[in-house]
Amino acid sequence: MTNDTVQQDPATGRRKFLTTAGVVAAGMLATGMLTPAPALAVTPALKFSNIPGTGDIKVVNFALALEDLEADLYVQALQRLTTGGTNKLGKKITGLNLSPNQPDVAYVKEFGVVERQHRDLLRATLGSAAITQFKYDFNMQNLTRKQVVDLIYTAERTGVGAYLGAIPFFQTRTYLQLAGSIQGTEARHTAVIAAVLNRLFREGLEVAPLASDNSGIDRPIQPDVVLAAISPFIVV
Amino acid sequence: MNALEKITGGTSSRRSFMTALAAVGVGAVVASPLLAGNGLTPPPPATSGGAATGVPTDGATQFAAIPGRNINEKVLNFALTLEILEADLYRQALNLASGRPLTTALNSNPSSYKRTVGGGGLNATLTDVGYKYLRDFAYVEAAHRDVLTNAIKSGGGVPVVRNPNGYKFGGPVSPNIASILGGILPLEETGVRAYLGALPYITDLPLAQTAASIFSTEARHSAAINYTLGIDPGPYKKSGDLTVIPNQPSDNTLEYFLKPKTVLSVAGAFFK
Repeated sequence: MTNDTVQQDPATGRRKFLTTAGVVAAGMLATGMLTPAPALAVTPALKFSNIPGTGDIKVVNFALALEDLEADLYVQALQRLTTGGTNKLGKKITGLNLSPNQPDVAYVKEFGVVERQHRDLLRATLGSAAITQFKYDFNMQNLTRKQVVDLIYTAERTGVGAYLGAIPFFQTRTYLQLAGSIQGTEARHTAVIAAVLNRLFREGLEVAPLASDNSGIDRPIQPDVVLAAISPFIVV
Repeated sequence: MNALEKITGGTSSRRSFMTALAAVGVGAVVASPLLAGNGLTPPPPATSGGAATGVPTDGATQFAAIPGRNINEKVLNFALTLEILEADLYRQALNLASGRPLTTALNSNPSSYKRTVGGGGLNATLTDVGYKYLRDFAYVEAAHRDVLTNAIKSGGGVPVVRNPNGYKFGGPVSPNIASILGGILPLEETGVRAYLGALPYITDLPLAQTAASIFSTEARHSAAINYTLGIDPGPYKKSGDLTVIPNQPSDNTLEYFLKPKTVLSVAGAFFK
């Protein structure tokens, strides 16, 4: 599966000229010059062409962007579900004071550690080529318990497809198995969070694609589609 | 037949293939001489560029027992070997949970199956959920089997075939949902490790994408079954598991993998 249109203008065959905002965002991605205020989502949405690096490095940076978001999402989600806290933007998140024994709280806590490890691992792998850490606004302080867990589910499910969609953008197989070893855990998380949602809220989610759905095989999501989905949460 | 011969569908018409099997030996595990203990060199620092140093070089050895005209076809046949096994064992599991003879073929209508066994200690909700998984995943694994078979055929290759003697659970299984799921679980967990172990041998990235797309459904199945049985959803390290990086931060940070030859040896327990 190829997606040359991400980086190539189909009309001219030349590299797409980045929008002004895209250049700004890409510059911040590369250099870490994030401004603390105003708290606005990055617009227009980031594209794969904005992700710094070339070849495999670009793909690993794309993965890092996802893991960075997931890691921070889990921190804020756990704050919301339990005793509250303050996110990196300084927004106060009031806690819902759920018991640590509740399945959503327990798994959000467990998986949050894993996502932080993924983020740190990819950041260490990339070294100085790594994108900077973003700040995220999930409107967490206004989400219900179910909305929090739904958001986690969406993020994990997106992660499963995002890794798959990124594989053809690798130039070599150097990081293929590492990417797979992370992607499998995202799949496990997705299945468990689906089961938890079914248990707590009777949502009727499938833990895995049925045979009638793409022959029971996970679907890739193109990097630009992933970035469009996560950009509204990224604050620059 | 020895276990490897059974696994790879050896028949009298596959004489050269049998010779290859004999050369591999059963249950042999290749010692990994490299740093990470996984047959791979660790990924280089990102700034050093894109040299393909994370790619294993022992493909000829690892897939010696698997038919195929090239490494990619061998990986597909390796995956198909497992999917045939999984589909068949799920079919048996579903029959057992539905009061049908184990030999009954998978019915084309999923809703024709009704649970006739108890939960085996699972509560009512998890018993129903567990039965649903058995039914749904039985069709999924059959679909995976068919997708791989068709992929190999459409590429002009010859897919491996079902073991003539059939398949069995790796240990005793009682007619209840918990026990049946417990009998299926090792197969799913091995499937996860098999796909991840085979992944870096694939030289074609779109094909690697397809393999990873199946791999992650096996991970979902494993996690869902673990969850239903009340155990950690994983990944958790089992005996013989290899890690993608040395000194993994914790047990459940990354999926584990097994080398293809090891997988074939492990899967032998499910072959009659």
